[in-house]
Amino acid sequence: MAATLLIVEDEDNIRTFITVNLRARGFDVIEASSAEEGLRLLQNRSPTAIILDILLPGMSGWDMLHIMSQDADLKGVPVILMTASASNVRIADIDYSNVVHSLPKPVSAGELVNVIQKALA
Amino acid sequence: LETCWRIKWVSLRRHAGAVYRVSDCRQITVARIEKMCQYVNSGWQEHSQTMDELTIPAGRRLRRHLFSTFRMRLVLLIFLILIPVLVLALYTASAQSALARQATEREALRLAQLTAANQEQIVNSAEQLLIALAQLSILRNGETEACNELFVALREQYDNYTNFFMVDTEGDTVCTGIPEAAPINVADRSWFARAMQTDGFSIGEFGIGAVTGKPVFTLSYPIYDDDGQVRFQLGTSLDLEHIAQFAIATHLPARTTLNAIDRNGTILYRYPDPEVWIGQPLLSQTLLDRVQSEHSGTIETTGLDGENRLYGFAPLDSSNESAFVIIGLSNQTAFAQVKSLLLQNLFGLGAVAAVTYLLIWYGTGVLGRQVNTLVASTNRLARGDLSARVDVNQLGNTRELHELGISFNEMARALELRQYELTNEIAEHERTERQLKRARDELESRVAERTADLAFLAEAGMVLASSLDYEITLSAVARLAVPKLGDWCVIDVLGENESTRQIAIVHAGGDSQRVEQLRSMNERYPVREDVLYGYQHVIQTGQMQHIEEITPAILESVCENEEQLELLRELNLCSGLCIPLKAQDRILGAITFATAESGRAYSPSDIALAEELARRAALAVDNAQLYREVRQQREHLHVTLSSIGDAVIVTDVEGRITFINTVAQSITRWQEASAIGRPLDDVFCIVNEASGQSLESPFVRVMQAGEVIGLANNTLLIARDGTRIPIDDSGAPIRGADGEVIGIVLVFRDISERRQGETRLKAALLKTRDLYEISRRISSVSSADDVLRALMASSYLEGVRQVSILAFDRPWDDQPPTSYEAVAVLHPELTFPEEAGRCSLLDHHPLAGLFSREVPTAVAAVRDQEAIAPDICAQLEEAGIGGVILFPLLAGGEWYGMLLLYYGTYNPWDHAEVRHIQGLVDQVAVAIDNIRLFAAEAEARQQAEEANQHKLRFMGMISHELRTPLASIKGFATTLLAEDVSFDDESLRQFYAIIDEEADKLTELIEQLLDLSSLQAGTLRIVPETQPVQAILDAAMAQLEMLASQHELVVEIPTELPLVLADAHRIGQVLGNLVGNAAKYSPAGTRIRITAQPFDGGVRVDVADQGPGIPREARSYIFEPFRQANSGKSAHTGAGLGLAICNGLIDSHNGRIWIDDGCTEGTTISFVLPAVSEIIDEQP
Repeated sequence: MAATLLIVEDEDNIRTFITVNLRARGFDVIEASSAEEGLRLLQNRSPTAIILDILLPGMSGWDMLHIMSQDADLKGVPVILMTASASNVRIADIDYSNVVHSLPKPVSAGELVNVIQKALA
Repeated sequence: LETCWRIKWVSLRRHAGAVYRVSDCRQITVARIEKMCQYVNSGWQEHSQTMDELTIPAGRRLRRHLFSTFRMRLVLLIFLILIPVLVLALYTASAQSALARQATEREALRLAQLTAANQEQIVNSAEQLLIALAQLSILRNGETEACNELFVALREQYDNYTNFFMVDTEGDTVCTGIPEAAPINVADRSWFARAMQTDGFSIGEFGIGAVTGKPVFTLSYPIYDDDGQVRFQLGTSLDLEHIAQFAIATHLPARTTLNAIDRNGTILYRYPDPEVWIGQPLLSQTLLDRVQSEHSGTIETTGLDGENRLYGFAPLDSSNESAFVIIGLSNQTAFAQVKSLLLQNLFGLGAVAAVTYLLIWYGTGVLGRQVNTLVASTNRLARGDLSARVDVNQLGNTRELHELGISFNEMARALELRQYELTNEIAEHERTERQLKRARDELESRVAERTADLAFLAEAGMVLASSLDYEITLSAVARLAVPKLGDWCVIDVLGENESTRQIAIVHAGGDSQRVEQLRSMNERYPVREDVLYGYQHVIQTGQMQHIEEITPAILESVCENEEQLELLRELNLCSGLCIPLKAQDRILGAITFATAESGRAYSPSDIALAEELARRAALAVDNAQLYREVRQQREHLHVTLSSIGDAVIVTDVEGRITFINTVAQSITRWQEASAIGRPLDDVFCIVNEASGQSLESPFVRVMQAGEVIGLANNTLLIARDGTRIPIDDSGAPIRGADGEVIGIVLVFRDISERRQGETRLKAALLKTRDLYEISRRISSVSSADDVLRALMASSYLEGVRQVSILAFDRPWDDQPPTSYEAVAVLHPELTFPEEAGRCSLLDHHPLAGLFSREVPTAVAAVRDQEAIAPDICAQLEEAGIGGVILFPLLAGGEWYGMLLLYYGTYNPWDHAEVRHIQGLVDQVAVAIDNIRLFAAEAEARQQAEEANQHKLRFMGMISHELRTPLASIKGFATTLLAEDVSFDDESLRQFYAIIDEEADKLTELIEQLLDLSSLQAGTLRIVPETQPVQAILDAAMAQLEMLASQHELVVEIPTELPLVLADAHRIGQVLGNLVGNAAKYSPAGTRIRITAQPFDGGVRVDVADQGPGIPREARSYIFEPFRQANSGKSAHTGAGLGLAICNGLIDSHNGRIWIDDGCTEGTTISFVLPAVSEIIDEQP
């Protein structure tokens, strides 16, 4: 069974870019344009991993991570963070242990797929 | 002290630094000198230590070694100079020898080649000879006889040729120049074989001739028969002797050798001594090797005779190279000239060195003797012989030495002179010391004497002090004075009526009969005034009289009659001393001493002692008389105290009143009669003014203190009739003759009047303290409320019910300010509501009409003040306010506010109080101004910090905004490049479209940023043209309609509008931004209105939408870059630069842009463009 990925990203074009690339490589993708929508989707779906943008309208990526950490079912789901500047975020400094990787913006298709595959391996 | 210094000096000189002994001084028994000596000692000890430190050692003698002397060093120096010269000479010789060697080598080679050339020539001529002979028929026919003859003749004719011969083809001799020798066969000879093979002339090898036994070589020429076959070989042997001839002819240098050798090294010929060497092998293998290998050249090696030579060699016969000539030029000869030159040089150098050494030896010998002369003299001087001198004539005529000698002599002379002076000084000091010792002994005896005198005087003093009745004491003194100062002592004292009274007549022997006689006689016959001797005369003149010898004549002049004369004669008086009793320039009497039986005379010390005794006696008399006077004065004191201005009460030791003067009676209302004998507390009843409590009895306090005391301040005396009188008082004990307290005296006075002055003084003091205290507190607080609280602590403001400080919005100069702010209010519940608010219009203040810059305005009763409206009066009175004072607040010359003091009841202040309060208010004004300035500064600082923060946020936002489109572009570009997956055409088109769209966004953002930065830098280019607003809108319309495609766009422009000066493109950009924002932030289908109207000398354009409106708090920063209303990440895209750019663009047009006040629905952004006329007006 193919892995399912939830993408939480407000920029339509960036989200599309991630979606088409992952689908083309056989992943199942569900999309959310805000943290609120992402959390709503998590009530019914259990993705293998989540790609999460930090800077979101309304609730931020950090807020979403915090809410997930309060939920026993969700706090173990691996999360790949999307950040505008990768240098600003170090995985070691993040309090949430389920954050497994960070993706810088901009990112190439190859790098994106590499990171996702590594995170799921 | 001087003595001591001198002693010290002598001692220092004498003992050369020994510490002076204190005991030497002690004999003088003057403690101060002793002390001084101790100082001197300690000083000298320190000095001695310093001297030790200053002593400089003479220095160490130098170690002796070969070059330690001046002479040897000079020699060494010269030799050191000669060394380079020597080296130079050797070097030149070496260079010359190299040159000579080269020349010799060339010469050797030249000679060798010359020899070879000569040989060649000989061979050539031999060839010509042989060819010529070959033509002879006798030879051709082999006629032996004729041939032999010819050859013998030829041989004799040409001594170069050893032999001529002819052989047949078999080698047998056909004919020969030496027919006598046995015929030989030459077939085995090498030349023969060679000749047979050669068709023409042939040259044989060198060798020792078989027939001649000489070193020869054979030349041959064939003789052909008619058939052209060789028939004979015509030959000749050439002797090498000719080489020797050549060598001799060329004048070879001496010791030159010439060798001719064959190929194998056998010596064919040698010059000189050819007979010894011919046939021997060449001994030098080196030479041979070289010759065999090179054939022609030069070499240096050892020759056959063991001598070193330079050899030049060349082949003797160039065709065969079977023999070589070697010319050896002797090294000795070649280098002889060079060597001789070198030897000359070396000899010259040696001669120079030797001469120099001799000169130095002699010169330094002389110098050394001269120096030694100096050294010897110096050593003499060092050993203490100060007469040592140098004979400068022995020092030669070297100027330095001569001057050194003269300097030395001067030094020695100076030393000798100094020593002479020192010797003299020491002698002088020894003399002084001896004199001092004598003086000291003398002093000692005098001190002993003086001590006895002092003891006597002390005893006399005691006697004199024992009683105030001087008649008794003087008698006792007189008794004491004999026999110390004579056998008789008489004391006369001047009475009140200028008559003298004889107090005492004492005789040392205690002869009372005589004494009695004398006394009675003196009474009977008083001394006449014209007598020149005795006490009468002394009292008159005041001068002491010393009669060294009492002669009968003196006695006669003194006496009145025979009886008296007789009596005096019987006394047998010897010497007399009469001294006046003088005190404070007053003659009190005289004391007379006389010697009789003892027969002694008065010495000066006796006289001094007598004078001292007289002085003391006089003092005793004077004191006694004074005492008597004092006692009389005391009697008068009572009277005096009674009439004094202050009140006086005297008590006895038990506190009962013994005296009360009239002033005291009038203050206490007690009569003297009733007061005397009463306890003090009955009459002098005092209480504390403040507490009303009675105070401790002054009597008890004085008795306890035992000295003068000021009694308590603020004292009220309760008089007999109950009146309370403020008094100042003091008390003192009264002491008896023996010092014990026998009562007290109280002095006091009524101070009612003074008290009033004091009250005023206290008020002034209070005021000063008030001003100081309040000022200090005002300047130490940091808020306006605290300033007010500090001010209200003033005791002068006790009646104030409330107080306010109002600050104007700007300083009040020519124009009044528009509003004010109540920066601090104390007890605000009582004040006007207008003051409770933070900010109000100035006109609204109920007391605004009373504000004045110049002076404080006092309203004693608000009711009577016309400037206050009746309803305000009612309001004030309701709040319990009766009066108000208004102070202007000024700082730095600017009137910036008011201080209002509200009173319940206002007691008008006097001038001083107003001035005082004004002083405090001035402090308040400065303090409040400082606080406001501080607040303004703090605000400015905070704004600067915020601006900095904002800039950082701005950079962060730009980075994010640029990154977002980039992320999409990069993402899809890499997706398109991916090789592991493929997409259908539709997807690919979508990807390209997205890349295009994001690139557009990026472009727009960058353009906006550039615009913004140009605007901020002031470099954005604006091209304004005069045109109607309608034209600008028309140009932008297409863009606006596209932006508002989802909305209803309404444009309402009136026709009658002023023209504006504007850049249509830039204003179109502004409109596009505004419409774009409106469309973005309001729901689709709503209306967006663009309207225009004349406004404030320009044209105002409004862009209004029906969206949710911009939050109130965002309105202040909406025109700043990256400040969208809902800060952070917006639901709406856009960098937030649009309005900032609009603002900048409108600014560049000298216009203004603003947002609505939030009262209406939706959002309206308005901007004004100045009309053309306005701009023209501004610009001329």
